Amino acid sequence: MAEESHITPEARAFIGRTLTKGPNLVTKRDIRRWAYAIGDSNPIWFDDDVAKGTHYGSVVAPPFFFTAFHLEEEPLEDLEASGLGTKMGLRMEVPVPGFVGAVAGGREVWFGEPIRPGDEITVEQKIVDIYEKQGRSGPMVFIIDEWTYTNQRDEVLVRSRETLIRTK
Amino acid sequence: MTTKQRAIPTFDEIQEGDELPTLQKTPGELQLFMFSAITWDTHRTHWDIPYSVDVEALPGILVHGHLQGSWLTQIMSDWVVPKGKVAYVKYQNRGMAIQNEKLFVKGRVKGKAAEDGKGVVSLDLWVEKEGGEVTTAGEGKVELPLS
Repeated sequence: MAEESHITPEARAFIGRTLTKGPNLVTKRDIRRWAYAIGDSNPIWFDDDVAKGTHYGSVVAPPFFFTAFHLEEEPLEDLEASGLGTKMGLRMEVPVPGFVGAVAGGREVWFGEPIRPGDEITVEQKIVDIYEKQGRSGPMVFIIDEWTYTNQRDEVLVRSRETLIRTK
Repeated sequence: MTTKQRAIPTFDEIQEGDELPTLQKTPGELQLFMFSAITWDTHRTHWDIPYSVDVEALPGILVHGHLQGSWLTQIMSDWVVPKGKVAYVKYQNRGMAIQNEKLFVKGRVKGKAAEDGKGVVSLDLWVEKEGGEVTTAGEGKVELPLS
């Protein structure tokens, strides 16, 4: 039986659309705070003397540091009672009427040049695909986006491909 | 910060089936708060226990998916950085972990190859609870010099 698609032309029009944030400066303090928060004591993230003796030449950020640049900062008065912000990024703007659930469906990350103090990071989010599947508990719409993190020299630091699953 | 003495394996030494040193993590309220702050994740399900239990009907505050992703890369960087680098990770969050649960971050070598003058090691990676329940699973790649 042919089912009607849940992906409207308005939703499909989001494929290829981009949203850019930044540039935002990376400091040694940001990196140190990140390493402390995740509990990572490798001296390459903190100690210039150790870092100078390696091929990195200076302290660098731990791989997942890029996610500190992921969420949109919003002022207190804009947050909902749940603490969630209202700007949840381009992928939550894709209209899928009746699909109230939003589940993280996984992530794939390629690491390029290391992130260093002094880098100015620009993040571009791009919707690359939208498709649907019939799940056990109902239809699901998959929204795939790609996030590209570059520095002031246009070097690619990170590419992250993510799946958001919208459910009824 | 003192220099940790860590023995980083060479590409030649690494064998398929080798297990990476397990990272043990017990993220308490304080760590989940710190991670919420550093990622500007204001959602109460990560830092407000009464809200999470009473309003969202959760067993506690949730360990962030990004934090578990961070640990999948930390187990790789603990193993090879600074001699090598973390090149790739792919994962899915499969189950819920809450504050003060003991988590074990694990990795196992599934293959290695010389590519573009670099030694690339492929790994299976996962986070499991004390009873073996997997909360996050995926794969990764590190690069090392070809000796």
